[in-house]
Amino acid sequence: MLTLLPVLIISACSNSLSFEATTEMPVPLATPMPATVGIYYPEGFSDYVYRENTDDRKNWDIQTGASQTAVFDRLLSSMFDHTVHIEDLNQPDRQLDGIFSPELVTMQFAMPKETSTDIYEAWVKYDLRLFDSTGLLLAKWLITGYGKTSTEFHSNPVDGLNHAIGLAFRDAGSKLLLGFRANVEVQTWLAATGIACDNGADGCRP
Amino acid sequence: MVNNLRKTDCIVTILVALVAGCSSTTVIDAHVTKPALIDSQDAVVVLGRRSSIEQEIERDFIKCVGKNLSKHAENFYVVPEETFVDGMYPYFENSTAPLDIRDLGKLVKIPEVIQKLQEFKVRYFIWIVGFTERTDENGAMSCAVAPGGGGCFGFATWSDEASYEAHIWDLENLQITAKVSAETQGTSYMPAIFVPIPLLARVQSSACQGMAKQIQTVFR
Repeated sequence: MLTLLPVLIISACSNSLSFEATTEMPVPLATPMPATVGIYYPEGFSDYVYRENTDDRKNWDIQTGASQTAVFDRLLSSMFDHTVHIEDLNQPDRQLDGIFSPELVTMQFAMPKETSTDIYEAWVKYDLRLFDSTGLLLAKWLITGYGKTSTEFHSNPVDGLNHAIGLAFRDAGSKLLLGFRANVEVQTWLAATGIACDNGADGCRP
Repeated sequence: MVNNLRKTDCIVTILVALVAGCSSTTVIDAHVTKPALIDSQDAVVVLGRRSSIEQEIERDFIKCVGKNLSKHAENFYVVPEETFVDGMYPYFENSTAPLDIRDLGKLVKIPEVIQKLQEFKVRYFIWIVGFTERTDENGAMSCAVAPGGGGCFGFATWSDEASYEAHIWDLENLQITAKVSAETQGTSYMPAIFVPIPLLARVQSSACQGMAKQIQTVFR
């Protein structure tokens, strides 16, 4: 017990942080579009680990790969009738209407003591790309997400940061769902493939 | 003997003064544009407005208002905030929720949204904004542990202030039905002679109960 005590004190005082982010994403309120799309996760996306080792953030190791993959799987499967995972973007499948590929641009955090507030904060930024079935880039746009939560609701930094990350994913997801059709290149793709177009237009899918 | 009696009297007097002193005062203000007509088939949802960067409305406060409304509501159902926001995702997130009645009007033109609102049977939205904060803190207390035991000595006092405002939106008529505000102030004390005795002013709880009671009167 006596030997354990210093270890506990040292670990409690150090700024090290290691955990796997867990996110519960609700089922989006959306009507899937009549299309089959591929989802391509670039290397390092599904097993992404945020690492930092500075004086203020000793041995930070936050695994977000599984969570962000689950988030995009859920979002895209709610937006389209069928989704399939693509392993290689260089071997396109002509049966697909398009291929979506999210890439993490940045992930940032702020701890209460760093900002002199009582909130944990998380930011995420993704570069989302849409390819046609031959692998040709059609559209590219950024989506960002922000999440914050108060120290009042969380007993420890892991819990607080995990919740802030979850909220940032939710926020990024809502921007994808609501901003998707606002992209001009996406609109062109939706009309050209007949996935979504004016009622009665030639080649429009039911 | 007389000395002991005086000491006891003195302690009792101090405790009575502290208990009386730690109570809180709540001011409720309400402006009702139109009485809210609701029947047993309808539901209301209490939602926290979380668009401020620094202050965040406490989820516990929203739950408390919802719970207090449910407790006394015989003619309507209160949808829990989390269930509603998850069910309506992505339309009621912090960054996407309607900021005014006009936004709500646009939102209900989306077929999926109106269908889900009908499933929830929501007729009224109660949006709450505000927070509770510590405004003053005084005194000192020190605690010590020794092989023979331990104890705390000292006296601490602090003041809290709660300020909340609720806007009630009528979904059917797309208009603001009422605005209710609750402001509570209270001071807590913690004297410690070996053992700390907290005499807490339940500021947030008083604001919640006062607000819920007032909102209740808006519905008929």
